[in-house]
Amino acid sequence: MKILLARLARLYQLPYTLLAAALLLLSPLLQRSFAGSPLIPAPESYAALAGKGVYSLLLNALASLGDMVVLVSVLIGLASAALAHILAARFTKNKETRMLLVILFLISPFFVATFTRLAPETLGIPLLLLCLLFKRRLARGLTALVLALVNPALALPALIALLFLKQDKRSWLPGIVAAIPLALLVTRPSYTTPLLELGTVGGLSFIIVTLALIEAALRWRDASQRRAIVLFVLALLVAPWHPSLFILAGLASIPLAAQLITRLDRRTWIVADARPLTLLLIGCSLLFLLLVHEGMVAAQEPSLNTVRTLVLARGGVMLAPPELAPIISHFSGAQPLLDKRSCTLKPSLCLDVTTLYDARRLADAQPIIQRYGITSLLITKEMREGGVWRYDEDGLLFLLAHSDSFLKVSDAPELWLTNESRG
Amino acid sequence: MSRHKPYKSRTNSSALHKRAGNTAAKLSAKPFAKPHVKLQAKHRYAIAVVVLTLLVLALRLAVSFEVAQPGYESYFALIQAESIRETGLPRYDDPYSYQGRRYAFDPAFYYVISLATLFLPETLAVKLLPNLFMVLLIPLVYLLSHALTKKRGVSFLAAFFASFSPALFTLGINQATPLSFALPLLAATLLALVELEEHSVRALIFTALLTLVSPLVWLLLFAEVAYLLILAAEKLKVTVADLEVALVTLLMAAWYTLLTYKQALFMHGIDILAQSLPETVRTATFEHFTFLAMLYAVGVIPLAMGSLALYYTTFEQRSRKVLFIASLGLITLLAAVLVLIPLELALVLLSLVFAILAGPGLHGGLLQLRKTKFECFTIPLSILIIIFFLLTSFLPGLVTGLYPGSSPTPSELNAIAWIRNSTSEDSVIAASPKTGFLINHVAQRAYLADEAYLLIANPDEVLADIDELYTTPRTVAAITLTDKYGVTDILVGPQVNQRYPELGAIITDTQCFPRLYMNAQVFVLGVNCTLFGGGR
Repeated sequence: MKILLARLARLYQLPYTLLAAALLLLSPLLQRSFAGSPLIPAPESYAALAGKGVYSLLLNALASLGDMVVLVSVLIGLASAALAHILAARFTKNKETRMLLVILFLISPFFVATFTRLAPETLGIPLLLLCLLFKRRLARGLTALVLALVNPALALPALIALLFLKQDKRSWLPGIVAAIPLALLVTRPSYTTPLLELGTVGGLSFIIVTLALIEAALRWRDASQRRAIVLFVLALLVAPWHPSLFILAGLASIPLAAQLITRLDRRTWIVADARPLTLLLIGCSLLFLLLVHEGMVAAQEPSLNTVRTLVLARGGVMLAPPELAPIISHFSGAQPLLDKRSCTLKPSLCLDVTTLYDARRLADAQPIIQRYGITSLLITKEMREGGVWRYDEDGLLFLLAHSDSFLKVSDAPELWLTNESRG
Repeated sequence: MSRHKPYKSRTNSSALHKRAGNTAAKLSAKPFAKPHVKLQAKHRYAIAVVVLTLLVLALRLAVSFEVAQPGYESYFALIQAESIRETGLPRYDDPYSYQGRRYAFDPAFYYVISLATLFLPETLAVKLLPNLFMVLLIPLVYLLSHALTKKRGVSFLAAFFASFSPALFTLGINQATPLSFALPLLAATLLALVELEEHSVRALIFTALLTLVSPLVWLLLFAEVAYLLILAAEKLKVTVADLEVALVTLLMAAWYTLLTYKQALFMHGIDILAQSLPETVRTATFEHFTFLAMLYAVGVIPLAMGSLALYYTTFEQRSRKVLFIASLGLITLLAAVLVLIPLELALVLLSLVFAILAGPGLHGGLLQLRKTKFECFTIPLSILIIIFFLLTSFLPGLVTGLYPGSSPTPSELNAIAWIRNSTSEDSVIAASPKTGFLINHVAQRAYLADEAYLLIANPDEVLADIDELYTTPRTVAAITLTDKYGVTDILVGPQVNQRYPELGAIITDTQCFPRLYMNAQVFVLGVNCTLFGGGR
């Protein structure tokens, strides 16, 4: 294993880093292309295309590229890989650790998830890396300013972290404790399952985080590193309520995990046979993580079937899962009734939709359909399998199956037209 | 000056000869006389352990064959063994269970069963192998206890306790459960870990095997972490070897779990620890979990002796090995209290831990006794302990082992055979979840539920619906449920009668639910009505 790491370290050169990054980023996009799905994955990408922020303005400027605009993200990803390569060289002189840093950066879930879609974080990550790279205060400050403009959700916790790492010893803990909830309030938190292993695309990896936590525990005795460790652990704890922290916590876990792997490789083991087994298991786990995540990124919505179905809606108002709202607007021209913030902003609308989903009588369903002018209903497999309904003819499904007021025009996902669409 | 002179000046020649003679005598005696005595004791106990193992095996098999049919859970093993024999792979996609579902499980145990069914009749294989695996615990507990105490007598008693502890004795006696395979492997892993510094490779091999066989490796991992924390809290030195093994265990467990249970993790999240047991099942099992129930399942004597070992380790001599075994007990207890693991698993693991700890507890107790005036009572007291154990643990265990409720009756089998021969292939059978695997293997028909809840989206609702179908007094409510699941036949057997003392409309409304088959204990009902069709 030691020989293998040393051999791999010889491959630690910028062209190889770029090649690996290109392969990792293009692979899910190619998979989507072969499956006939639109090249741009994730509903968030379509939200960014329709948004009004600085990043959305930049995207609109590239509108002539069509779906190929996602390649801009890939290019920014390649630039980020190059920055990570250069930063790794600054971080340590040890070539094996540098190589591990770059490998972990490339296979971290946030890397593939971010640079294969259109999201403000696509620009946020390289800007953050540039902040760390620049030595001059002016350059660093300007980069931070641009970062704050492009991606405030990522910039705010990052800047808080950097500020408190510089603070006087006695004031750092209350500062952090006060700053994190503030950051959460500013950026509207919502709970997301944090681990990739539990199905979150771009989430934290259990293996990398565990390795990082072990290294953090080993470094705890060094008083000079305690602030950084506390920040890292806080970021991990808060990350489920603040997805931007996935990226920060993921970035922070990379050097720790890389150092632990180097430490495991170099130290003299008491249980000598455990050493190759440990390194092999780490390698296998990381490889498995990479393969699983690439598949998850490639399988994101919108799929070919979803797009084919949405095209049939032909305008109007569509009732569909809130997370698909940006895709519906983009592909069908219909206006989605619900989006991710509907239940927070309009609780009555949310209540009405719940009533509609539970309705087994036309007399209960029709007034709600008329009130909101719902012309079509999009029903996904997840909604049928416990997301909204429990069994075949539960709630509104019963009406859909037995009433003439609804017309099914597509099967996977199901699209039903209401009487409203037929005037 | 001669170089040899100092010899003479210090000792005379006769003394020198005498000493040389003594040394020669010692040297000549060592390879023969002294080891001879040691070997005899070692062999005597080895023979005793082998005899005990064979006796317990004979007793277990006798109890097992008291009932002709294997237990309900064994039919899942038979389904998997059949699939492995035919295709080389376990059946992960099942068209019958929950009317079509996917399983997530560790296949190692089923491969072993499948291998055995190549040479043995199926029924014999599922009865013999679990018992064979379970009796392996006896020598393993003996060795573990010996590793903790270095005393053979008390270790033999610990093995004796493990043989007849009710929870351990009844496990796998007539059920082909993967736990019967995993438990000896866990004990072997514990033994290897207790002797880690001498047998590190063995520890790695057994940990790897346990990882492949059972999710129990996670409990072992948490026990290792708890052990390290206890060592740190007690200001005992944490050895690097322990840390290294804990790290390897973590990586192995994480990697293999992700590989095998990826889909279940995506679906159930952390709930996967409890095998995604439905709330109703959890509540039903844990509401009866009291200290007295634990006392009964683990056995009074092992519990008392194990607690004595914990007392000595905590307050008198800090034995790292005892602390390690106790950590597993602590983690098991914690997981049970938090309802993170099934109750049966918790009781079995606690029984194992306390049986192992009974050795050092008994040893410490007898040492204390020798310091008092009652030293002469050592042997009578030991005999008394054995008799008390036999009365309080062995007999209840035997009775529970003989309890016929865990196996299908001949009437039930006849009814299931009738379903296979007389119903159409697309029939859907409503039955107690316990009989699910039996219907699957024998009748080969789709059914509402069985006891494999992992990867089922809404098991609580299905179970609640089954309860309602059998008990509702309203025909409309019953028909709504038969419509919902497309039920064509309803099985009313011993399991249903045991769970529902009073049955509802399915019995009273003979027009909608006519009796198609009936024998002494079981009847099969048809479904004649639907909500919208009026009749089928």
